[in-house]
Amino acid sequence: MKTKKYRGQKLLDYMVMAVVVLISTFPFLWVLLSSFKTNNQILSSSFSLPTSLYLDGYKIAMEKVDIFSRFLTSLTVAGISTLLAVVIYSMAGYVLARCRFRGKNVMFLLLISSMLIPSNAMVQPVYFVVNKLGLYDTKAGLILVYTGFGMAMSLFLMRNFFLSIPQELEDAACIDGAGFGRTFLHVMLPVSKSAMASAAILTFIFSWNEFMYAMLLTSSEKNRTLPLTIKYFTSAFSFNYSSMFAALVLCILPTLVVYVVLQEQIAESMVAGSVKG
Amino acid sequence: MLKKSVAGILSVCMVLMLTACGKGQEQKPAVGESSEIQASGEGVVKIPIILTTGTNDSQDIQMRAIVEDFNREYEGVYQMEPEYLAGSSDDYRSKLKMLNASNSMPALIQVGPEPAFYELLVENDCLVNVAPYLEADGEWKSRLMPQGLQEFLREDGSMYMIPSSGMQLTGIYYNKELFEKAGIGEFPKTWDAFWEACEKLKENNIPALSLHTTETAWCPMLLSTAYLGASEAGRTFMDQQFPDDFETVEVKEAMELLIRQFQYTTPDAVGGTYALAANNFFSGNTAMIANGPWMMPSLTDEDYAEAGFAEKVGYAPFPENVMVGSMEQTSWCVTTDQGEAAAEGAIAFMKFYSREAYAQKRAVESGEFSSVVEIPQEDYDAMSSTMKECVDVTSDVDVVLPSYQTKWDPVIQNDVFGREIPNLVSGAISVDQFIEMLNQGAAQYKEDIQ
Repeated sequence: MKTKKYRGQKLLDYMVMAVVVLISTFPFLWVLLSSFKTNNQILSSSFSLPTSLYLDGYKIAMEKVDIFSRFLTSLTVAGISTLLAVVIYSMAGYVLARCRFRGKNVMFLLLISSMLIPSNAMVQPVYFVVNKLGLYDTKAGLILVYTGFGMAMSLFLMRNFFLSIPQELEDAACIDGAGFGRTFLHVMLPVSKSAMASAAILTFIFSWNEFMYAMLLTSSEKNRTLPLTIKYFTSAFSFNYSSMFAALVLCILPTLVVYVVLQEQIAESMVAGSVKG
Repeated sequence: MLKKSVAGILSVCMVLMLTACGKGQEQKPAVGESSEIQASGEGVVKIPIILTTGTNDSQDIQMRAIVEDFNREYEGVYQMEPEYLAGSSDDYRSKLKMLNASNSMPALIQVGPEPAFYELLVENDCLVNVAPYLEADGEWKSRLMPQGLQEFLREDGSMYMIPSSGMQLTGIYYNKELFEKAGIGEFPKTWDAFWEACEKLKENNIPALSLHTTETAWCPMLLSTAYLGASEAGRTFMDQQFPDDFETVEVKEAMELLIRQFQYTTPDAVGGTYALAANNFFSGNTAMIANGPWMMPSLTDEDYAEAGFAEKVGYAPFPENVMVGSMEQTSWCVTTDQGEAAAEGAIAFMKFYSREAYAQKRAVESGEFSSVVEIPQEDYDAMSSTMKECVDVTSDVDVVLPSYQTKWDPVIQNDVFGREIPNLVSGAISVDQFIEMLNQGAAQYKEDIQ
């Protein structure tokens, strides 16, 4: 009886997992399969399987645009923006959570209120500042902007996480002789890895996908990021969806390979510090 | 002490990371930096320009070749510095507006589809008056479209837009094979005959028209506005810049025609994109699509249509021998932002651009025709049958109507069309309600620019 119940439970688990796996992998599988279809097949029957292995999409995608160099540019810009965001906002979040000074709450509200300003409304001032700093058409300009845009959410996450950590942990560190910096680096940061991972993921995804500022703040090919490449294949009267999907696969593939190779380490780093004791 | 050290190390790291990604000395300056500075340093005047690019874009390919030829011929004097922008014309204009706000537009720009922005630039002295340059060089002037020269000349004798040598006129592509199947001998010449043809196609289970409602409903709106070209009152209406009263008999009829078109289309038309509509035509699902000659290269591209498809396709003017086209869409303006030397260089480039050989190439490959562009017989003979028909109908057209995209304001095109055309064609709102919304959109635009 118990075995039967156990088997039923197991079956249900597998079914739920299968549904989750299907939902998670469907978009990628759809992009992958579409990359082997012609324009006509994609537009006529979006969900059908390819009738033949059409590889011209890949050929065109690689011939027309230097996808790999743009991939590296995107990786550099998104990677550094994420690193800066995590480093700066974890420090700022800690200070705003633990230090006492006048106007702290007002400052915090002001900083996170930037979340309420639509990014379109900031185009002109952002361009003006970036141009004045001599950072127009540089990766540094984009990094600066993306790090700035990640501020509100990352700061909010980090400060709230630090507030949730018991004060006793810091008191114990203080009794053991740790100063402000050591307490932050060796006590608080290790336990806040999950919040840092969340902030990092949000900033990375935003920087990786962002189109408008990448288009407005760069002009040379070497500073152009991947979202601009994808747009190349779908302009007003000239569209090539098979090449666009091929380009998407080429963009996603390196990330997938890295994830498959390093999945254990990535999963470990995500959960490290989330269990106290 | 430790706090200071950590802060110091982090600051140094940040500075290093930012400077490593920053602008090296060998890099070119931002668009906004005056080329005069560069000219004095290196002796070469740099002329920035933004060119929109995309897959299978014949104009982009031609422009790249002209830029290369110009840079070779003017080596050591001028250098065109193109920025290739993959994106829509909206993206291009967003970038121009951003650069304009800090006086750093490229030396050559295209603002035809946005007349309000063009007028603003003229008012703020951001554009070079090219009239004296044209007067000083009669040979150059003779290579430009006379209609353009006349239209762009302002009352005070100034001119801020340089017309091209030719113009692309929009008509209708039709599938001769499907027409034959439905028993239609030739492309209809009147609107009554046009609807009869649509009915015959429908009887043969062939959707007559490739339509869509996104991207300002380009294909169906071309047909609707072409209807206005059949009457004097309609033509007068289309000549207005930013009309604010759409409550006219002709506009009502044009909007009723818009609804009627959707009786003869595919189920994916409402809410569909241009790409879907075009694909329906390329796959032989529909019999007609309204569009310009820039679509010609796609007819022979096997990514779009099967081999031999181009031979089945004919090109005709809209009924009553009307075609749609605006010179503003292919015309260029020289800006003052990059300084005098760059402006002179930009003028030199425009003269180079309008050379006979390039004008002929644009005519043959992109369908930019006019009375000043002669197509050599051997080039004409080598053209596809569809392009030949395009040349023939363009030279014989009775009425050329300006495109609604250059005449109607952006609030109407982007907000009202995008939101309400699906409602109009599906019967959720009436023509009168739609016209009321057009009037409200026009009023809002007037308010916005004040």
